[in-house]
Amino acid sequence: MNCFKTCPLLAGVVMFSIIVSTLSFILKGTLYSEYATDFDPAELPFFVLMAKGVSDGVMPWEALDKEKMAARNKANEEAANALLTDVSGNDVSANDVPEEEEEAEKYELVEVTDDYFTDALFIGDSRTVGLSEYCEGLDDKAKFYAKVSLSIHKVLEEDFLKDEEGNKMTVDEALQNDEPYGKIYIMLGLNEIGTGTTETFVAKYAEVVARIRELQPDAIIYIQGIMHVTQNKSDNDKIFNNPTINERNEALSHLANNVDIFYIDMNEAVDDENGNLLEELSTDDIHLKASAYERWHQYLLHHAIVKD
Amino acid sequence: MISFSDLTFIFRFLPVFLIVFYVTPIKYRTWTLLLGSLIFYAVGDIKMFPALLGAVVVNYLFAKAVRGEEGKKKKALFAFIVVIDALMLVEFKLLGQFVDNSLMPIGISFYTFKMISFQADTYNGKLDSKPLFKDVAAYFCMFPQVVSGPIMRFTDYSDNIELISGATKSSKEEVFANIEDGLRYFVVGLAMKVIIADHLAMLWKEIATIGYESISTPFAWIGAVAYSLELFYDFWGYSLMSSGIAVMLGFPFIVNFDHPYGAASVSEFYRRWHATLGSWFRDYIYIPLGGSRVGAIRIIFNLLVVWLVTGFWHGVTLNFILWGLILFVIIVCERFIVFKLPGVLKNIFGRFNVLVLIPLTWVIFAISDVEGLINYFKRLFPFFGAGVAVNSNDYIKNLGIYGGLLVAGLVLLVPHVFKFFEKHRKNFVFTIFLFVLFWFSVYSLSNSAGNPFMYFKF
Repeated sequence: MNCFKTCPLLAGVVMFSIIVSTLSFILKGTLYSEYATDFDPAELPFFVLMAKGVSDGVMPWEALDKEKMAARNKANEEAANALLTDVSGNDVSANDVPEEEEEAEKYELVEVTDDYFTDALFIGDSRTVGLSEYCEGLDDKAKFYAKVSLSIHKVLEEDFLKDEEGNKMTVDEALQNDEPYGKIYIMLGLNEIGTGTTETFVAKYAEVVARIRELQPDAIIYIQGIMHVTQNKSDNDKIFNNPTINERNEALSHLANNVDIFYIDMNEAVDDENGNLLEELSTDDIHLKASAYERWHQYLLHHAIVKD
Repeated sequence: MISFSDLTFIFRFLPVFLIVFYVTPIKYRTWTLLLGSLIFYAVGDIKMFPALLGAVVVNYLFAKAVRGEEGKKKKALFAFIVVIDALMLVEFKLLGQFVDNSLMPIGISFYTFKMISFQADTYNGKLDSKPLFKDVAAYFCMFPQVVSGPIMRFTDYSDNIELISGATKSSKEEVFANIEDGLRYFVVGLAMKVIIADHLAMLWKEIATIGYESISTPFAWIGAVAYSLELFYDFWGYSLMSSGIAVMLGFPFIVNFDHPYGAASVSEFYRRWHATLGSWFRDYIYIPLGGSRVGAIRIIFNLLVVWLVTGFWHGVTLNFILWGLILFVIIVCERFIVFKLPGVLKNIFGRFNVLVLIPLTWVIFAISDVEGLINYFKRLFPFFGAGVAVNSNDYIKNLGIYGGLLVAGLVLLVPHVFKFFEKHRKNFVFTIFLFVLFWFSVYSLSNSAGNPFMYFKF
């Protein structure tokens, strides 16, 4: 019996399965090692490793390119080492601001009008995307560099923006070329909450803030605490829960120097009495409903820094 | 593993089962099917596994008793077991809805309907010989159908059981040809489910996240279309996978979806949508009540009963009952008004009902809380009031993301497209196409596997 004649599809599928499984098995310690850490072959076929890699642009034939492999291994090692370095080394508040200056001037959060946002930039994930889409007053005035699934680790490097000619560009590049901003609001930290530790997260956050500071020396930087999830989500999720969010927010608040970097927490505008996102403001337990973004907007209007 | 679009099922359970099945000597194959199906079910829902086992044994014993009796006693026994089956279904549905979701056994809506049809066919003497326990049990539990149908009849099973475990030994070529053909249907079903339905589900979720009161009117209509397509390709895809597996085992292909959106009336739509359920209601509820051979008032009553039960069968919340009632009203109007109109008008109204009213009924089907439902309809028909914080350009962004899938879904509604595939499915070009489709689906599944957030990034 000729298999390819009787059952070409079956034969093709079986053969291809064997090929990709074998390749994944061979490459699981090298090219695809970063996908293999949480992988349990009892639960999923081996080729899932390769599929995940390919979706990130890691093609199996890269294994043939010895130089690339060596570079990749080195980069992985460096990334791992960077994660281990102490946070204090990157602490912007400690580095940039002498104690006495902080003593000298204290800024109060005051109420402002929408005009305040004319020279404002918002950076964030899907929640900030929502703010731009469902808060007309804000969207008319401010600029938004926001994208679904954005994390602190990729915020500066991912080329999700477009320049005037339609070429892709990163936030880092945009901040180099844009007119100086008066205020830059950041809310990031939910997508990456399942990776790393609070220390590694805040270290990366400090690095990003320092880079933004460098590129936009005159802007007031607002670090926004990560918005909570509802109690329903928080109680049933090992990763996306409010205790973890609170822990990270607490650590984020220390990045502020209260001179040109401030920490604000909009959760008070959307929380219930137990510090969870109000159930009626969200249908998916994570995002605000369109009609609830106004609360965030109002919070920002009432919590602004005005320097004269 | 309980879903066919699960990598463990596709790459582990199914191939292992097929090998064991065909290695088993022919006369024991029914046992292999039964055992494999029980393992499949137990892995998916071990907690409610005893409910299935109990129902199988009780139904087999009662059917045996019914066959052995005559007259009133026979009738009483038959009525008793049907009531037991129906009560079991009602009770578990209520428990699942109001107590704890995990108390609703997987597939109970489907296997109890198989059981009731088996009892009715036994009572009416439609089954000629005495079925063996292994056959009855394998029919009730068979893994291609136990989760979501099709609700095959026992005669369709027993007529073909000879094929899989009878005296006629099929050649190696025939076996492989069956597996190949079944795989073709399986791949098409898998792609419909994974590529179209699962991704359009994200669009529907997006609408819920925004809040029904805050979507623009064009987006509300796109949402209604997207949900209708999602539901269709989810279920048609499942049915194709199910029937494909049955073909791999040597059963004939069972048609559960026969291009419903090509129908010229809602009445016809529901003969072609989930056809095995529709024919079940016709044969075991509508016709026993007198069917259409009674007066107009009685026909209306019979239809009301059928559609109320249909609504309840789909779910116990109020929106399902409302959904059933509205379909009842549409079907009664068609029967007594639309069908009496002259040809062209009849056609226009019929098509309108299918292409416009049916998607609206799916919105009712989809949204279980009444307030949300009212909000959604207010956005569909904005003259009842404005929305809250509506972004009037929301649909443009989403058409950009989902436009291609919506078009693919709409094109596949045209009956000729799938019929063309079916006719030429053994063609070399289609083989390549299916191969690519399969691996693309698997790729998509791999990236969501172990990462429930692929479809749900923040």
